[in-house]
Amino acid sequence: MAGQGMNEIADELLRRSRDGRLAWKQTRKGNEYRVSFPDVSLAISHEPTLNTYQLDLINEAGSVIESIEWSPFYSPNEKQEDKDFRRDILQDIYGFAEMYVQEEVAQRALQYLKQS
Amino acid sequence: MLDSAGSIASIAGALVSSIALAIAIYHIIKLRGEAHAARAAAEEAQRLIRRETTGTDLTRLSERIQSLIRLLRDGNRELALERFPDIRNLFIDIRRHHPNLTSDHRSRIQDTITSIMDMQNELDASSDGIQIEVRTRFITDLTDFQTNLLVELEDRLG
Repeated sequence: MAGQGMNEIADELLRRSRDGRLAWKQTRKGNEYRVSFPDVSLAISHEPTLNTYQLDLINEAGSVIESIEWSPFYSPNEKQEDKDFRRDILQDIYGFAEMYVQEEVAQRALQYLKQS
Repeated sequence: MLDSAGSIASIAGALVSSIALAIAIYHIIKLRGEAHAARAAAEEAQRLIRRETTGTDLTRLSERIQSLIRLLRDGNRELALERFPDIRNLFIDIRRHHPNLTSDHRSRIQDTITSIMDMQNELDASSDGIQIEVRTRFITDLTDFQTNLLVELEDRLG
């Protein structure tokens, strides 16, 4: 299990994503969204087959240095409410990132249409 | 008579003092001007060196990316894998050497470094050569870095 720091990052990330203040980008993997800062990145991914969610903290060299994840199959000894809480946070971050990218694409399309 | 001589001596003393003060002020101004000029020259030299270094870094980075594109086209997986860390390190160096870069540019460099790491990991995981679809995707992204981010950095730092 990742340290408390990752849980705090996830909380803050969710807050900022909900406010639409983060410029999420979809990566080439398709089911992954990433936001980058001057020397750190965060990536949220969803694996639909196993229904897992993962949040990665990426350092200045591009390496994943810490992650938190949720899977229906992991951590059988963990309290159900803790698992549910983590699932909700990661699911919501993913949802907001996806929504941000969709809206951004739609806005761009609209802008092009208005200019044409 | 003595009073008059004293006055003359007093006036002469004041005159000498004024001249000495004027000379001192002139020297101070001259020295300040020289110091200022020297500082300006040093700053200009530093700026030129930085510009030259940046130009070299960006040129080297562009050449490495071009070389990687060639290796990917040739399907040379092993050599291509060796190029990725070089390219990431050059991006890291540029970001480190230029603290005056905007937050947006630094974030875009970070995003590019992460994308390059993703490519490296994906290629590393595929032990059976480089598939055409992967090759095309990588080349498209690398070309995009060259034509967008590198050009912008050159404009910004050059």
